[in-house]
Amino acid sequence: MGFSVSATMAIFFAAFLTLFSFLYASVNDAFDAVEGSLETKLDDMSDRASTSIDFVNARYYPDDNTLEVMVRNSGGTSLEANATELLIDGLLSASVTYEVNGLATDLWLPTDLLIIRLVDPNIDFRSGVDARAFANTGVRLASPTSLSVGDEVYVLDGTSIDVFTLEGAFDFTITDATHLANPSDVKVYGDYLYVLDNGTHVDRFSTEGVWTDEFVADPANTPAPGSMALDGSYMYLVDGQNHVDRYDLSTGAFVDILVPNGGTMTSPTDICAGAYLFVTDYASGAYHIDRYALDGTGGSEIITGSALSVPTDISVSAPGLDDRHLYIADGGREILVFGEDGTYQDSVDDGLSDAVRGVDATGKIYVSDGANGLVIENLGTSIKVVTENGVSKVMQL
Amino acid sequence: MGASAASTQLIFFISAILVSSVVVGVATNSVFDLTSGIDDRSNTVKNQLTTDIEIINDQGAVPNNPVLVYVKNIGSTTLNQELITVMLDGTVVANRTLSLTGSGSAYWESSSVLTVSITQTLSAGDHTVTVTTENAISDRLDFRIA
Repeated sequence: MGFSVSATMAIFFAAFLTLFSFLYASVNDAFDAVEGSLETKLDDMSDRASTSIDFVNARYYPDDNTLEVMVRNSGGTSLEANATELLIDGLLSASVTYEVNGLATDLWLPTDLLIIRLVDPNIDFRSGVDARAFANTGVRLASPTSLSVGDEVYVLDGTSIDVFTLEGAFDFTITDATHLANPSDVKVYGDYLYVLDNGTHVDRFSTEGVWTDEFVADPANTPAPGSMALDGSYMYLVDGQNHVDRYDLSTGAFVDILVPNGGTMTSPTDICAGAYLFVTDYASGAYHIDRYALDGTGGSEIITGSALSVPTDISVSAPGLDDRHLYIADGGREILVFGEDGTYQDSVDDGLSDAVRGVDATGKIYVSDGANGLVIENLGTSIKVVTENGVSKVMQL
Repeated sequence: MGASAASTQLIFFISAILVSSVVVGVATNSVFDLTSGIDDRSNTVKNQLTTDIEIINDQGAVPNNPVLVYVKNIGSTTLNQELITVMLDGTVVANRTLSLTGSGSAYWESSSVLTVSITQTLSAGDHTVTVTTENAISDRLDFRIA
């Protein structure tokens, strides 16, 4: 009897030791696993709490149809650049490239500047946005008229040209008593600034403001140029408020009379070029807008006189964009926005005075205003940047 | 008498061995079940702790018709995107199309974005979408359709 009890106790004891060791190992493993995951979770939460980003800028470059979004890592956590997401107007952009402090690296350290580049962005004008004003230069400009936007903003102000950054900060002034005697229109494209001067010829300057040459001076074919437009191939000149001439943009050589007088063309006063040519025309006591194909054919009136007051400048979205609009400085007090087919979209007057003169919509809407200087308005396109750990910022373009 | 006492002792001994073995066997099964449960539970807790998702849509510009919901895996666990549950305005969405961006495999890896496409036109106003992963981690986004 005693031996049986002893044997039973021995079996129980051995079983207890074995099972306890199994149980202990299992609990210990589970604890270690959960503890490790908890540490990871706490690390992630700590990283996220110390992650912060700030928008520096967003710029659209029409020549290569590229949007650049600049974001600074203003937190204390190193991030992966390639794991950053960009949403334009709510749509995720898949084909973006990244550059950190000028390097194609993935490590985005605190204080580093990340540039996200997107070719063919879906930036667009958004109607119904009440507060658009982004910046203005105040009274810096005395009597601004025409303006043009490239890598910087060139505003014709009397007989000088004031140059601002795309964010509205003053950069420098171009003055040249000889070659800026009586300038009336200014356009920038590529490496050059083109200035219509004295109503007789077009001077060409470097974008730094150094006179280069008299690019078009052709009294035989274009004796009275009044307005000009540029695209990658040609310069279009409205001559004598009568017709449109075309010149080669690489050589300055006369090409042809692109749109002769007659038909839809009565008394043109202004012109802009995008995917089409748009001409402000004056007929029967009122202004209207005609649209032509880039080869000068297919002219048709797309905006009637009843929709306009006195248009002083006209601009169109870059041809590379999918959704293009026409922007017209009208009546000295607002920017009228139409679709490329002439469909009315909206009027923009946030932050504008009653002395609106010129407009160029490139990335944002840039307006020359006699009272407020250079006024910059948002198109209304929403840009959102999301980091690898879900921290995000939203801005308007 | 001597032989019968010895037989009795033997019977007691064998019985004791058998009974204690049965008891130990039952206890062993219970302990194995317990350890298995602890392992499963710890794995679940571990996965939940290392799983995190974020709906990264722009709340003022959520694409409509189809509704596109962008969900980023911001945890460190690779997930099976087919096992997510999407609820739009409180109703489970059955017909959705999934696509991955930035994932090196067929599964929803860390840092990659899952696009949930829902063929539906939302009315103007406020809406809510909730996405829940296979291990019950979820994120919710309130947004407005203009």
